[in-house]
Amino acid sequence: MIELRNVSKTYISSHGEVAALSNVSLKVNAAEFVAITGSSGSGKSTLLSIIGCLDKPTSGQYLFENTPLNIVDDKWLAKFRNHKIGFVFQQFNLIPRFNALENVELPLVYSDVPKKVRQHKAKLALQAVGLADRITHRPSELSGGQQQRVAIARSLINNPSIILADEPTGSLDKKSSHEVMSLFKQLHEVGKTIIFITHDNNLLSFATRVLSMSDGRLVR
Amino acid sequence: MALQRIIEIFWQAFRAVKENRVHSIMSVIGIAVGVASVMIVGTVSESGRDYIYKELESYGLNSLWVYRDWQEDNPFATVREGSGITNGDLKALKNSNCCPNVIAYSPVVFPEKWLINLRAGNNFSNTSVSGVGESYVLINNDNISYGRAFRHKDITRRSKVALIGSTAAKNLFGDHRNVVGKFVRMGDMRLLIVGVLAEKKRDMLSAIGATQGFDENDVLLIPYTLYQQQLGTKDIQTLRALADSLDNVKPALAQVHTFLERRNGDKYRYKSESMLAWIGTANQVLGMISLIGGFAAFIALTVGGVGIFNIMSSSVIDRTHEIGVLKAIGAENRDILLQFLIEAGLISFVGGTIGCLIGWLSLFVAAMIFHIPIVFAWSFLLLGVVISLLIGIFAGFYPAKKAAALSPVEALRHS
Repeated sequence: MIELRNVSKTYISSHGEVAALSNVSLKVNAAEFVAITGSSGSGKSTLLSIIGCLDKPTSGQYLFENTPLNIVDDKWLAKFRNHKIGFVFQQFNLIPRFNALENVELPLVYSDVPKKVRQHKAKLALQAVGLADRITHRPSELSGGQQQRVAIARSLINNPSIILADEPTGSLDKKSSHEVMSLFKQLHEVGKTIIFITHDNNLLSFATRVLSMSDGRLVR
Repeated sequence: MALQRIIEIFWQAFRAVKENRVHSIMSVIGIAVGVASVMIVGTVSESGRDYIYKELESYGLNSLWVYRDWQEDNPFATVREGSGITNGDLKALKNSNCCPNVIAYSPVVFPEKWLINLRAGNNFSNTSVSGVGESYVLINNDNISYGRAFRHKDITRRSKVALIGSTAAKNLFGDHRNVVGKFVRMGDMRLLIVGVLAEKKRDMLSAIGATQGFDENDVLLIPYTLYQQQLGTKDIQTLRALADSLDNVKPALAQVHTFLERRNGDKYRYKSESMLAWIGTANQVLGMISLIGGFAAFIALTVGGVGIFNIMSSSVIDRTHEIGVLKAIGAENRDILLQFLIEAGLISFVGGTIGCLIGWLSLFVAAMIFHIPIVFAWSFLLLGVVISLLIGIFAGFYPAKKAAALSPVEALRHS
């Protein structure tokens, strides 16, 4: 489903060029549940950003569903993220002035789905993550675990091919972490492809495959 | 872009503006002040123009004055007595066809001491008394509020009749408005009041010095023939005339002037005046008001524009992370651009509308306090709103463009 061939990413900083990724090759099949570990600065987040098309590789090839991606056109990339990718972040990244329902609806706004349909789908998604009774709450009125579940509902709303989660439990306590991981497990069981980054070795057991990164390279 | 998406983004922008209350209020105030000043300046100069023009018109825009120039060029010239214009001159003028652009003449006769002590009952009034012909009311653009104007036979028969100005009438008869049929005493002569002159406003004209301290309403007009008999003279102090159109005031002036100089040139020199010079002065004053006000409005609008630019720029910086999130979930560059442009437009539209209201209200209050008739021009309202919108969109464009061009991963890294 996803194939990276010799992908490198180099940043230019005040100290000269910094290689965040060097010659990473990776294949992820549909319905895999992949965990990525590694110390901070090892390139995990850069790898996830490139998979999610938030960032463009400096060199190498990226094939999505066997098709090389058009990484030049910003508009095309926006559509790609909107339809194919569901993002979950460590800091939840909900829009503070919108309530749970409106936050979940947001990706559908950018794919021109009519309001009625949007609201209906968003309600179902919130139901699926167990927050049917919190739809009018704003993020500030929700606990961390609840916010992350809203974020997961948002990532699912457009029925993406893959869910990318960058330390989804990094800001949560043990109980909430477990809830969130159970949710991912359920999604995996219904056939979703999930890639997540974690520092917590206890969570690796959820994954079907574990990748480890060091110095911008994948190490088995 | 689908209309639905535009509407959706509009609401997102609306909520963002509402949420960032302090930011929004600051820029709304900036724009409002600018637009209010544009509106006030525009309306004041427009109303002023209207007002001055009306006042000038009430003097008779087409009317002109000719009188003797008392300053002799030649110090050795013989000292000449007399006003330089006589009944004979007037008759000759009327009989000749020297002056095709003049449609009416009226002599004005007054003694060296203009102000005469008038009496009615126990009331006195120091009033300017002039002897005039029957065309004077027409030339001076006077309206008769009660009674009638002079008739031809009033002049030829030296009837003891008078037209009275509103101030003089008030001084002599208290608050009675209609004093037609009452008598006024001028020395030992009893004059029957046959008409009351409508009040003339002189606020703007005295402000620019055109009235020369003379109260046009404190007057008494009597037939010039009567006054000449009284004063024992055949002299006319000032000759008033009416040109057939505003464009022909200058030629008419020259025609009368030339005729008199040809007739009496070896004895007298003449001076002539019209309202044209005062129209120029009035326009200069108004141009000054417009210029200063326009400059103030320009500065105010610039400050408002810079305010919006700052607010939008800091809003983009504050919300960089949010922009990253929106891009991650599928917002295109143009969605972000549109949202920030709409935010800037909303702020400036609200600011512009409030500015118009403030401007309107302050003009209204000023009009009430100073009793100045204000001409409310819709065009300035429209102009204010359009200008504010343009400024908002221009000032908002650069920050919005910057926001739209942010790379999603860098925007997300921003905290």
